Formats: sequence, structure tokens, C-alpha cells
Amino acid sequence: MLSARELTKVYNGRPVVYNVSFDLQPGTVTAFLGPNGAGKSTTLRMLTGLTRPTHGQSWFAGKPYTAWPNPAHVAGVLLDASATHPGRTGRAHLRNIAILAGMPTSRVDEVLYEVGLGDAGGKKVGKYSLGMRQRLGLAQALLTRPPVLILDEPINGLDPEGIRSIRNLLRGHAVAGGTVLLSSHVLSEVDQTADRVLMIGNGQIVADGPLRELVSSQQSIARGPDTARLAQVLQEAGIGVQPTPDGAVFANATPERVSDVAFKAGVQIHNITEHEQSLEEIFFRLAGGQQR
Amino acid sequence: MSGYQPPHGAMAQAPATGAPPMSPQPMPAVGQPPAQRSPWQYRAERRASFLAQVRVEFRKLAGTISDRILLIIGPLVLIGLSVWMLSLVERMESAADQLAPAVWLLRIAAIVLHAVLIKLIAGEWQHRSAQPTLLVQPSRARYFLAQAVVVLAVWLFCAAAQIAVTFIVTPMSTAPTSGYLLDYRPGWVIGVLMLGSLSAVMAALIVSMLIPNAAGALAVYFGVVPVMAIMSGVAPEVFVWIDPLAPAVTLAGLSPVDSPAPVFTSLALWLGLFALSGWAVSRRDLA
Repeated sequence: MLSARELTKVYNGRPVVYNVSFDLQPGTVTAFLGPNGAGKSTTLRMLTGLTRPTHGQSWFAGKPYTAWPNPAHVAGVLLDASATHPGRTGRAHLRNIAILAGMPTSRVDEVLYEVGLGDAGGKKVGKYSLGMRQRLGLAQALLTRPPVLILDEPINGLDPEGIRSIRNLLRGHAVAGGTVLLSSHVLSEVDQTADRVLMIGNGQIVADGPLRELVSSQQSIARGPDTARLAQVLQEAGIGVQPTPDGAVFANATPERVSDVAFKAGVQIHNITEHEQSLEEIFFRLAGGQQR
Repeated sequence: MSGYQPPHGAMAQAPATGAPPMSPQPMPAVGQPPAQRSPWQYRAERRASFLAQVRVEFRKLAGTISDRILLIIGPLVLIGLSVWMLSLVERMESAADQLAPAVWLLRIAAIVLHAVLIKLIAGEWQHRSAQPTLLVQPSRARYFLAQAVVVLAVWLFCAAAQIAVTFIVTPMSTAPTSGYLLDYRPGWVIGVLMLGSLSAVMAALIVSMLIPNAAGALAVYFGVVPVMAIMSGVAPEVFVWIDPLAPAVTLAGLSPVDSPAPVFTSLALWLGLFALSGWAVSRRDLA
């Protein structure tokens, strides 16, 4: 449904996005993860034609976004919730978009209600909170009921209820056959939503796969009645260990391997979990050596 | 994918699992035409009319309370200032002299209406509200053309108002001894006022396109317009070479230089600035 090939953007001789390629399938939510300045927004702007790629191309159902005569019906896009004139009302803004997209203006009030802005449509955008602006941006993205949603940090500024609503909305969109690409710099924002993660660091895709695989660290945290003995047997098996502040053992091996070693040595384990890496740790591991 | 409809009221109703209203359908591969077009593809292949785009730009022109206030004040200032100035100035002997006050008014009378245009065009970039517009309708050429239609409408209104006021007020204020001469050459009067009004609105357009900040563009415009009006009176022989109104001034027979050369330098300068501003806008990143 959405494909990118070798997208590259160079500003003043410095590549900010380099050779980014991916394919997104219908029925999936893909998180585009990366720290601030990694190249997420530039990539999304290149996908939607707002920024010309220095090299590479992207397609929505076989055509570049800008080649569709009315692309709002292909992809609903939220890139910057603050990119709205503060002196206009939310309803007036959406009506302008509806006219441009060839939608009946009656759809505006429907979509305002859908995003929870039913009572705020007549307020000036300048008086909206950040969360309300995000909702207005989402309303614009959803206005035409497009098959693809591209959302840049959609959860920014939302309260917990809003975050839950967005998660449900995105999952519902994917389950209904839609394609979702959402960017974030916070892993926890997407871990309950995304089927797949595209991780970008220093402008390059550094990881691509299911979230579970990415956060898997091949490290474990084990607890038992005798952690000193547990640490000893693990060390004897060649596994690096470290005590944790709360009295557990941090082992450089998968839970399966730790469990096997402990079982063979007759050491009891009450609890063993895989250590999940934080986004920062993953970036350090995957992108740390790729500074350009 | 064909027939895809996302769930209604998804955020408001927040379904726990996002129940699927329809099943996903296979999508065409990259670069291949779809075998069967789905409803969203039909809609995506039908561009909204250019008139719709123009309608949106007119809606934006009056999109804020301050825009609406300026749109009410602007014509009042234009007509009021023109009537006041034209009725104050005593008429001279020649037709050119009789037209001179109207030509000078071209520099300042439409300043408020020009400010509305500057707010529209520069404000779109300042508040990045050009971004949602271009996401829905990505052709920058169409976007600029739609804005050009708005500029054209404002120009026609200003020119029509100034022509009407000139033909109504000038005969009343002409000294009985001089004789009213503009009625003998109405085409010439209309040509001068249309051309001058166009030059003035183009100057405002160039400022708004070059400075992507409404406050900054307005400050520059409100600084430049009085300076140009003063310069045209204090040092006309120098100023006419760069005067945006040089073609109209020359057509009116009021040029202080007895040569068409200032028209060419002025046109080269302002058309060059217009081309530069168009290039800047076409390359402007919507970050």
C-alpha cells in the first residue's frame, strides 16, 4: 500500500535522511521510531510531497502521493498539529479542507465529534490546548476516511483518555484494512499499538521488525531464595552476571539458558524475566556507531 | 482494501478492541495499476475544481476577525481618502495635472486592502497553514493561482473604486476657470489607474511572498509605502527609476524624466523581484 525506496534528503551537504526503504501492508500499524532529529518528520514530509527527496521515491497504491489528483482520499496526514492558522476556528479550518478534498461540509461536524471536539469547533484554534490541536489534526486526517493514515507524533499533548482513544482508533483502522504509519520518539507510546517497528537513527533505518524482537535483549533478570549461589553457577557456566539493587541477578543470557543452567545445578529460581531494552538502549546498540 | 471504511466515532466511542467493520482487501503492487478500482480510488482520482480552491482562498481572506474588520475598513479608507484628497486639490490646466492627484493616491489609498492580502499570503507561511492546504491539494502552482485570483479580485475592486471616485469627484473639484478635461480621454484615465493599481498591488504581493511572516511583511510594507510616497514628491527624478508605479506615472504624462528608460528599469526591478519571490515560494520548505 505504501512503499518507499532509497529516500534520501541532503541539506547543506549533510544527509538528514539516507537510503530509507520500506513497504507497508494494509491491515498493519507500523511505528516509525527514532529520537528527536533522527529524520522521522523529514521522511514523512518526503512521503507526502512537502519536501522533495534528494534521491529516491515513494508510492501510495502505485503512485507518488502528489501524483494522485485528490490525495486526501488516499492518505490522511497529520504532520504538525500547530500548522493551522490560530485566528480561524477549528470548524472553519476543516471546512476549507473539506472543500479542497471535495467532501460535503456536513462531514466536518461528524469528524469533530469523532475526535472529541464536538463542542470546540467554533473556538479559535489559537485558544486550543496542544491536545485539542492534535485532535483537530487527527480530524483533518480522518475527514475523507482514507485507507492510509500517516501521523507524526499523534499522542503528543494528549491526556491518558486521549491516548487510549488514539490507540483504539489506530488499531480499529488497521483491523478494518487500513494502513497506519505513526512516528514517535517514545517506545511506550507505540508498544501497545504497533505490529511492526521501523527504527530510524541518524537518518537511516537501523531496525525493522516486530517490536518484541527489537526490545529483546538476550538478557535476563532472575530471582530466587539464594541469589549468591545462582550468580555463582551462572558465572561458572560462562554467563556474565551483575547484582541488581533489589536483590535479583542480572544475567547476560536468555531466560531459557539461565533456567537450564540453574536447573542443572539444582539452584531454585522463583522468577525469571527477559530484560526489555528501553528505546535509548536500543538506539545505543543499533545506531551508536553510525554517527555521520 | 477496496470498500475500506474506518470505524465511525472511533475516538469518541473508544471501542476496546477496534472491531473490524470490513475485511482488508489486497492492494496493487508498487508501480502496477490496480486491477479493480475501489471507491476511495475513484474519489482520489477526482480533483476538486479550481473554483473550489479559489473559494477556499476567499474564505481564508476573511478567515479571522481582524481580516473581516480590515475588509470593512479597507474600502472605506480607499474611497474616503480618495474623495477627501481629490476634493482638496485644486485642478490645474492640463489633463495630466488633473490626473496627478489620483495617480499619487494609487500609492497609499489601497494600503489597508493590501494589508489583508499580505496577511493572507504571508500568514499562510508564518502559521504554516499552507501545509494542510498542500497536503490536500499538493500542486503549488494551483495554490498560487488560486491566491492570484484573490489578488486579481482585490486589484479589480481597488481599480474600479479609484476610477469611479476619480470620475465623480474630479469634475466637482476642478476650478471653473480650468475646465474639466478627463472626460475627453476616459480610456487613458482608466488605463493609468488600472496600471497603477496593478503595480501597487504587485508590490504588496511581492512583499508578502518574500517575507513568510505576516507581521514582518506588514511592517516592511507599511514602512516602504510612506517612504515611496515621500520619495516620489521629494526626489522624483531619482525615485522614478525604481518606482513600481513608473509605468503608470509615465503613461499619465507625469514622469519627471523625459524618456521611457525609467519604465524599463522599474519593470526590470519589480518583475525581477516578482520572479525571485515566486522562486522563493516554490522552493520554500514546509517544515
